[in-house]
Amino acid sequence: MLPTSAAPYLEKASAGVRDIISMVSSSESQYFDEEKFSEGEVKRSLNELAVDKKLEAMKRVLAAHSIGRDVSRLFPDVVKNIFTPNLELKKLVYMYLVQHADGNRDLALLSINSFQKDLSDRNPVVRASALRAMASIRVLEIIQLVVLAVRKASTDNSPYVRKTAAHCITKVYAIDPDQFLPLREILLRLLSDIEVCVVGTAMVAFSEMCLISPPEPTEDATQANSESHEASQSPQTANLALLHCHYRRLCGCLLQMEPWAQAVTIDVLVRYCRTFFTDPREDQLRLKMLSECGPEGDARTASSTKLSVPPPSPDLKQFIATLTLLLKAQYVTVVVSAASALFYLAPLDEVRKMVRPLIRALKTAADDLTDPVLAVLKPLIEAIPHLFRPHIRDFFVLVSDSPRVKMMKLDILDTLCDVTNVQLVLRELQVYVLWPDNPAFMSAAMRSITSIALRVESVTDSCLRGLIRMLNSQNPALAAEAVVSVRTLLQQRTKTDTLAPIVNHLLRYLTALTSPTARASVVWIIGEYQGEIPYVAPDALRTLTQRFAQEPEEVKLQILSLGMKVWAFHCFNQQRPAPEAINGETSTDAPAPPSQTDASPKKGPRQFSPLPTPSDKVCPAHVSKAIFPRLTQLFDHLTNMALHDVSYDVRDMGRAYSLVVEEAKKILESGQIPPVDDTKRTWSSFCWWYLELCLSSAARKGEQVPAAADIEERLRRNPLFECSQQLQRQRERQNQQRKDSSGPRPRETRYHLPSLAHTLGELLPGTLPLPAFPADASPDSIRDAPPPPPPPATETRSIESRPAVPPPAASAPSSRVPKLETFEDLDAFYSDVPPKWETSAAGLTADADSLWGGRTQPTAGTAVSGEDDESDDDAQKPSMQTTSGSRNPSQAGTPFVAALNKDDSEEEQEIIDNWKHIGQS
Amino acid sequence: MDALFILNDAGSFIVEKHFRGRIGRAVCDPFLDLLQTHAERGWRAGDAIPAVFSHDRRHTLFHIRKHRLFYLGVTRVDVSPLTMLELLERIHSVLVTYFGEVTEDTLRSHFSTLYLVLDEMVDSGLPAITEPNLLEMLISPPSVLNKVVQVVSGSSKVLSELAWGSSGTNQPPQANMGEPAGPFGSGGGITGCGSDIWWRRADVVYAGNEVYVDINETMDCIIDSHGQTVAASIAGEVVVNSKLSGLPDLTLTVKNPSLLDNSSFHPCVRLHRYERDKVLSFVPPDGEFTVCRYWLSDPTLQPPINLQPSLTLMQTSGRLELRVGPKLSVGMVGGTGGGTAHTQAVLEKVSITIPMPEFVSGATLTATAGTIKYKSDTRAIVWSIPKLSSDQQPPSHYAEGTLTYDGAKEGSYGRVAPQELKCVADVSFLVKGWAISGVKLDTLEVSSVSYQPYKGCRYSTQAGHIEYRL
Repeated sequence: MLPTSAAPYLEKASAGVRDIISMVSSSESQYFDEEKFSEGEVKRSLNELAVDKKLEAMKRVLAAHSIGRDVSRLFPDVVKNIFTPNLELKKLVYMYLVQHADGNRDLALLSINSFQKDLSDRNPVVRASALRAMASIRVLEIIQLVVLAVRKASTDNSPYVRKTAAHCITKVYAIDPDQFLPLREILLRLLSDIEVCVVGTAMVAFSEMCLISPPEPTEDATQANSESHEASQSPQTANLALLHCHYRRLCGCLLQMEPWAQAVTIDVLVRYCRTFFTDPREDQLRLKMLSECGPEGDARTASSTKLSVPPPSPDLKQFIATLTLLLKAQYVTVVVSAASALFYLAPLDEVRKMVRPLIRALKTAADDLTDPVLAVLKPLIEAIPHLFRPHIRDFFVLVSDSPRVKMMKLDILDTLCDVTNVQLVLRELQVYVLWPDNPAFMSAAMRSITSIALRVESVTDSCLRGLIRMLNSQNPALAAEAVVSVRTLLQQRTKTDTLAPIVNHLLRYLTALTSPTARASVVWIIGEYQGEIPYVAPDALRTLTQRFAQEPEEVKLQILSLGMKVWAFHCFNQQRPAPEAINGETSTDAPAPPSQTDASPKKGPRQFSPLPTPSDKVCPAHVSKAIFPRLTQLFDHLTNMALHDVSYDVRDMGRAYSLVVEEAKKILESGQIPPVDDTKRTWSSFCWWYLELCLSSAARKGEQVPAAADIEERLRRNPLFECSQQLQRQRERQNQQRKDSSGPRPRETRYHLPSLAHTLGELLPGTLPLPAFPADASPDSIRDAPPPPPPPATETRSIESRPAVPPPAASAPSSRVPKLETFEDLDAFYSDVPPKWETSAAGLTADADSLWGGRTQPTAGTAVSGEDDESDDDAQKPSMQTTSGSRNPSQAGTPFVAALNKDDSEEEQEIIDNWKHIGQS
Repeated sequence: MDALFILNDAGSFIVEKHFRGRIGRAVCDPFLDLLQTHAERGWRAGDAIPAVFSHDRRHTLFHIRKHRLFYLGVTRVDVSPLTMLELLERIHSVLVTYFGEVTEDTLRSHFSTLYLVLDEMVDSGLPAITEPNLLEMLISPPSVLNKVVQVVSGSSKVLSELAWGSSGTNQPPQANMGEPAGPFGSGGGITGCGSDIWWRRADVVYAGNEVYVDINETMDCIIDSHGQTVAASIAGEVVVNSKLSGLPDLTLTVKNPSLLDNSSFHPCVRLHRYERDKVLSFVPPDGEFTVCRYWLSDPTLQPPINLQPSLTLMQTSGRLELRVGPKLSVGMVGGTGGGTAHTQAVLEKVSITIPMPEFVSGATLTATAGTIKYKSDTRAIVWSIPKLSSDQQPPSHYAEGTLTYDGAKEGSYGRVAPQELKCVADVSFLVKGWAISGVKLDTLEVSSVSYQPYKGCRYSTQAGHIEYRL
């Protein structure tokens, strides 16, 4: 039996336990319940005294915001809570402020006062969050105050606050680029901070502000730069020069920085090194020398003579040594940045060290990162394949790789493949083409096989044999790809003497081939290379014609064009003069160029163009003459069959071809070659031209033969011909490049690594190309100067004496130290203020001191009075209309509003009224 | 980074944070479109949305996928894509330390902490404070205990420790660059442990001091149709879980340091010392962290599992036969001994996945152990065996079955020839108490503290991507 007096306690205890249970079991997800959100209720909770009620209300507001509700009407109620001592609530309010300040600019201005107070809080976390929130409010009018706050925070005793200050520099600069000079001055001071984490953050800010988006050089900027010659430099170079005195320290503390800062610092220092040191990469120098000598220049002497590479500066060596250590960093981004830096900076011996760490980074990174890491690795591998070649197995493709990774690995395998590992790679590629469900990858693998076969001559023939076997694949896509590969291989062949056996082989294979695409392609190949097998091609045509009815449609079409080509070939071939006559004819005859547009039929019959004859083993004219009548019959039979085919396409094609051939026959009988005339092309000239086009491939083979000049001249007028020539030349050039892959290559990339521009392959805002190495190095002594001494500690300097860009020494320590007495004091302060504004018509300085001096940071108040002195000589500061408050008494007591450079006094009045309202409520 | 979104796999927004002005959700549309396509088609092996891509040339989207969540970042300017992706990875790992498991529900139920954490981690789109130790000093993780304290004391515990517990004096900020007075603790630096130990939080006190070392190895391997290893590598990590008071200085040595030749280290490891003595010397951050990652490539390596797969795809149906058992005495041939010591192999969580070509519609399968079935959503045959042990009788298991093709897709599969296709079996497993590379921890010394901590060490090996080409 409990005594009755204990009952209330018991009740209380049980209520407490119930509370605990409900607290523990409930979660914040309830705030996402859309129906439970009522603005009025939240408003009421926000105005309650209990902190946890307010907290809950704030969470509700944030939840409502995150699901897309408009909560901006609660702004005044939320802002009032900024004075809370509870840090969590304060942070939530800051967050709300930053989210909504864009829409509620005027209201946001009202919260500045509390920022000022928090900026001098004794807790560094409060100071830092206040600074961060203040800089995040994107309102141009308060920028002066923010700069002041950043300046003050940059000399704070807490590294956390200083780090935050460095972060805020970027933000402020983004809002108002006109603040560049004061910000840069703060930044340089932070760069010599004793805390490495502050230096790192400052470097990030430096990169953002001074390198990526420096302001356009103006007169002011150039004046500010003490050295006059800087005016001619790019702003980046001028800004990098500021790092001279920091360079050695940065190299030293690079290892201790945070990973993000490391990546950025590496990038900045690479730019620095490429601006102030000469190129230490001897292989690159040799390459440059070679290219300067020109291809016919004495390349051998250039490579054999000892290049006089000046020894790299010890400062550069120090950086490179640090970079090699950073290859052991845990973050992939640091490893990749360091490796890229070595790639752009270091001699080949140092570059060697990056290979294994890079592969480790690739393999130990999360799966999501494989794709971007490979994207960076690819250009590195292309530039220095010999270093990566021993690791080729690590780039073998897995089925579980994403499509992009598969493609990139394939490219890398292609790049790394050479005589030593060609069998290994080919075995892999043969597996890849059999994987299901990925046609794009399969055809890419086939292309790789082709390109390897072209490049590595020892495997060309075996590849060709393998590809021909693949022609018979049951998988039509594979067969089609194989044909394309075979065709490419044939086209790229330079040794024509081996072509005939291959085409013959294909021809023999034709009977076994079942895939329509493959059969069609082989028929096409025969037609294209019939010049190599002039005796066999008509026979092949005969066999094919026999089976014409049973062939699938696409093969029928190809047989038709084969018939056309064979007929045309022998048609021209039988006209070919005897071999001994060729030289005499071409030298005496010198035919008028048929390309003349005014060539008219009156000029008389043109000579039949003789076929190019690479050698006499090719079909002599009398053979053609002998078989030509039978060939014509065969072709007529073929077109006749085609005309009765079920397919429209085959019928159309047959009709067209038979018409062309009929017309050609007429020309042959009359012996008059129609002139080719672009403007007045007649049917007969078209037919003739078409026949010649059928032989274009044969003509291409005999380019060197002078007798081919006529045909070639006519072909030249065909745009297709020009295209094919260009393609040919391009391919030859590519082959050449592939073949001399052993030599040094330029270690440069289109976009610098590891930028986003490189990954996406296009220029983005903020992409900054790497500078090229200068011809002359700067002396090492410029880096000897010690960094400017850190400024004296306290940062409550009087603004009146501050020049536009005050030298660090200018700040005098002040004895005025803000003190917070108690919270009651604060409450009294806020209730007192509004009436004071109305009455304070006297001098602002005194008034501000009385207002702020005892309770909170005086900087704010004095900042305003300082502005007027500077407004004349400093264009970057908002010009102040109020001098010492006397011109506009109503503003005297509203320092923050007054600082906003507003012309519209009505608006100001409105803000003040609003503020008063809040203050009173 | 201009904005961060966290989405679930259905594509609905869970978290949205803007760092440089608001960006409409419409910017994610290209990503959502891709997500939709994949969701409709079913996610298959190797399916992925490109990690970095740009749709409209103005906004670049980059994302990582974690279980059922996508962390999606948006940028309008040039940044290093790797930095941004690793930042997303880091955000995820921090959220894991805060909330344990990160799911849609946990994110919603801790959303205010989540936003506070994000606020600290990313400032104006640039990484700010990302070290878990530091973040925990700024924002204490939510826990049941905190909630109870909150109710009892009537105030939130979150943030309060720092808010009032730091500089006890009532002194205003008095910058003193010469000798920094720590803001958070008695020492210097941002954390109070000194300026060069920024990763460790200050004033760590534990009643029982413990330190555990886990050596986890992941094996990647490609085995061709003849059972020969084509490529094989081991990625290992040394994870230290330190619960040590004060500022301990740890020295970790392994018996065969040559295995750690190609490795990466946590920033706390003294690199110069490692270069000289091949020992890992460091002041650890508090809690769990990866001190070292290493990678070894050895094309002669064999996985500790015996798989004899046979898949025959015929014109109208297919046949699958699998035989699997543990393989004894494997290890690195090139390794410096110790690796072949395991004689009693116990493989856990064995699973064999064979993605099927599109024309396969189903399969009838039987197995002597575990469960085997055809999963139509991922179009793959999955055989999972909870445990494979060399003690078991019989030591090897057998599974077989026939595959049926989709008749309705006759036309489409007529375009490919089943008998010419080759599939791949992906094997995964976990072996505890054994590291395949044979790496052995030698000593772990804890110095500069007065107590004697409890030390422990564990090994494990698991399969990463082990592909058997059938």
